[in-house]
Amino acid sequence: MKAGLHYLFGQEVEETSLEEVIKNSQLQFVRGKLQLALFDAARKPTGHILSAWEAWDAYGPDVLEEVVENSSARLISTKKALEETLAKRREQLGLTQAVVAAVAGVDEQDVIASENNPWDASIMAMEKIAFGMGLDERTVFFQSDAHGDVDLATRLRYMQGLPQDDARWISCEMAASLAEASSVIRAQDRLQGWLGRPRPEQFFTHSSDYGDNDVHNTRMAGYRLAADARTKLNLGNGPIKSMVLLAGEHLGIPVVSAELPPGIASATLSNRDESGREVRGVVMNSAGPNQDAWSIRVNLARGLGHALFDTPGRLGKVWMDGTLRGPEDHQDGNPVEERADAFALAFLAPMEEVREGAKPPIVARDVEFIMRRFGMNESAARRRIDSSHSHEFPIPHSETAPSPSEEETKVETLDWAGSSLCSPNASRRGQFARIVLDCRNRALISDDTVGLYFGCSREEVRDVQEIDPL
Amino acid sequence: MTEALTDFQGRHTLRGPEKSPGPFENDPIPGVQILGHAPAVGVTLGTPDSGEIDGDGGANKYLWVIDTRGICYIFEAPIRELNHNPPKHSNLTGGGKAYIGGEMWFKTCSSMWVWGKSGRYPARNEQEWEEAVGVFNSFGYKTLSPVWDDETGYPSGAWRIS
Repeated sequence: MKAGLHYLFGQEVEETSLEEVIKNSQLQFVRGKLQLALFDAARKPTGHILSAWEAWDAYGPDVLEEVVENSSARLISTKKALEETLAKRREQLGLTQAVVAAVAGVDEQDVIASENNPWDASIMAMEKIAFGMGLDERTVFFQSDAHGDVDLATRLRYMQGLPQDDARWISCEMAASLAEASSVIRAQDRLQGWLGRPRPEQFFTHSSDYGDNDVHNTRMAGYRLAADARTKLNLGNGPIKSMVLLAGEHLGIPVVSAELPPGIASATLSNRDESGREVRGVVMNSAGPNQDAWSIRVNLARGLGHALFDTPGRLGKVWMDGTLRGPEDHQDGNPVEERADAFALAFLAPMEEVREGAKPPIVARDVEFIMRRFGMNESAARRRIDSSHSHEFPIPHSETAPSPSEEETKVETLDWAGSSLCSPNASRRGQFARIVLDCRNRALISDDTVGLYFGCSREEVRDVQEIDPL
Repeated sequence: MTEALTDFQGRHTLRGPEKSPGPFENDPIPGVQILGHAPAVGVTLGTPDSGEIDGDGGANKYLWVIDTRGICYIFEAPIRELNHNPPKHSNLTGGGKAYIGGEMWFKTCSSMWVWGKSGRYPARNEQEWEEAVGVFNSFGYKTLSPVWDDETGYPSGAWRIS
C-alpha cells in the first residue's frame, strides 16, 4: 500500500482490510471546485466535507496520497472542464436555466453563476446542479464528462421535440425530472452497493427472447420470465407481499417518484455508473395512474419487466409505459411492451392460481377476488383472467370496486419520509431516503452529502443525532 | 534579509513538520541554498504542471521553506544521501521548524511561479500565504501565485485565469 495511505489509515493496515479500515475511519476530507484537502475545522473551509470512504471511492488512492504529501490534490482536470461542463450538459438535455434551478433546488442565479462565472461559484451549488442534470456530482470537473450519459440526454432532448400529441412527448420540466431521477438511480445503486445490498444482475440477465415479433409468442416469453423469476426468488404461487420492497430491497432496483405526462404509468431509465456499468431504475409517475397501491404494484411490475430483462438495444435509454388497459381496450403493441406486460401480470398472479380462483363463466365477483388476492387493479385483473383462459370468455367489470387495504397502502408507499430532513422532492424520498440515512448513520457519507441529496443545510443535518431509516 | 522577511518572521510562528516522517524524510541534506536578491544564479528554468500553461509539464521544480535563515530552497531531484529519493520539505530543515513551505519554478532568473503545496509546512491561513509570497517579491522577484482557496482552506492548486 502507498506510504501516504499508511500514514492516513495506520501503519499496520493490510491491503485486504483496507476497505473496512477506511469505512470506519473518522478522517474527513473537504472538496472545493479545484482541489481536495484534509478537513481541518480551524481553516474554516466552505467546501463539501466528505467522509474518508467517500473520498476514497470517488477519487482513489493516488489522489489521497497526494493530499498527504502536498496538503491538497488538484481535482480539476482542465479549465475548460470547470467553465463548460454544466452549460454543455444543460444544452445536451435541452433545459432552461430556470428548470435546472428548480430540479436542483438552487436559485436561478446559482445556475447562471455556475455557467458564466464558475471560478466564483460555490462547489455545493455546482454539485447540486450537476446532480440535478444526471451528472456524477462527485467527479464533476475532475472527470471530463462527469460520467454523464450522453445517450440518455440526447433521448430526453429528442422527446421534448416530439409533437405534443405524441404519447412520448415530455415537457422541459419532465425532462429535468427524468434527468434528476437518473442521478437518484445511480446514487442509490452506489450507496446500496456500499451497504452490501444485492444487485439485480446477481439474479437475472437480459433476455433477447421477444417471441420473434409474434404477439402470442411474445407473451409466452413474458410468462416464462415470470415463472422463472418466481422460482429464483422462492415466491411460490401466492401473492407478493410488497412489490416496492421486492424491487428495492431484494432485487436492488431503484424505484423513484417523479411527475410524468398524465397518461404515463412509469418510465424505465438506463444510466451508467462511473465504471461504465449499466444501472437501471423505474420512475413511477407521482401524478396520474399510480394513485392507489394496486396500480403501483401493477405498474412497478411492468417496470421490473423492462429493467430486469430488456436488452439495451430494445429498452433504449428511456422506456415509457402507458396506463394498462382492460382486455377489450388493449391493442397489440410493441413486443417490448407486450412482453413486459405479460411478465407483470404473470409475476403478480400465476396462471394456475388465477384459473383456480376465477372459473368460467367468469362473473364480477371473480374479478374482485383476483383483485384482492393478488393486489391488482381492475384492468390488470381482467387482463390476467382473460389471458389465463386463453381469451375464450368475456370478462365482466367489477361491481363493488374493491380497493387496497390500509396495510397494502402502507407497504407500497413510494413516499417514505421518516425524518424531518427528507427532501420535499418526491424523487428523493422513499427508498432513496432510507438508504441515504442508513449510510449516514454508518458514517459512510458525510452530513454535507446528506444535505446535498435532501436539499437541506449542513447544520440541519448535524442537529439530528441518529435517524432510524426504518 | 529584507524588511518583509523580518516582518514575516516576527508575525508568524515556527512549527515542526505536520506529517510524521518516513525513512530519510527528516535527514539534513547538502545543497540547500538561501535565496538572495534577484536575479537568482545557476537555477534551472521550468513551469508547473497546472494544465493551464504550456511548458515542460511540471519538471524542474524547486522546494522552498521560509525559516530563520530566510527562503531556503533546493532542486527536486533524487539525492544520494536520501537513498536516491527526492527531498521532502522536512529535509530542508533537517526535521526542524519552519514558518511555511511550498514549491516553485523559475520562469526566468528574476521571476517564478510560487505554489503553496507542502504536506509538512502548509500555509495556515490566507494572510500567512499572501505575506509569504510578498517575501519573495521583496527580494526583487516577480511572482505568479495562486489565490487562497476558501473552499478547502489551503492555497489553490490550480491557476485562475481571469
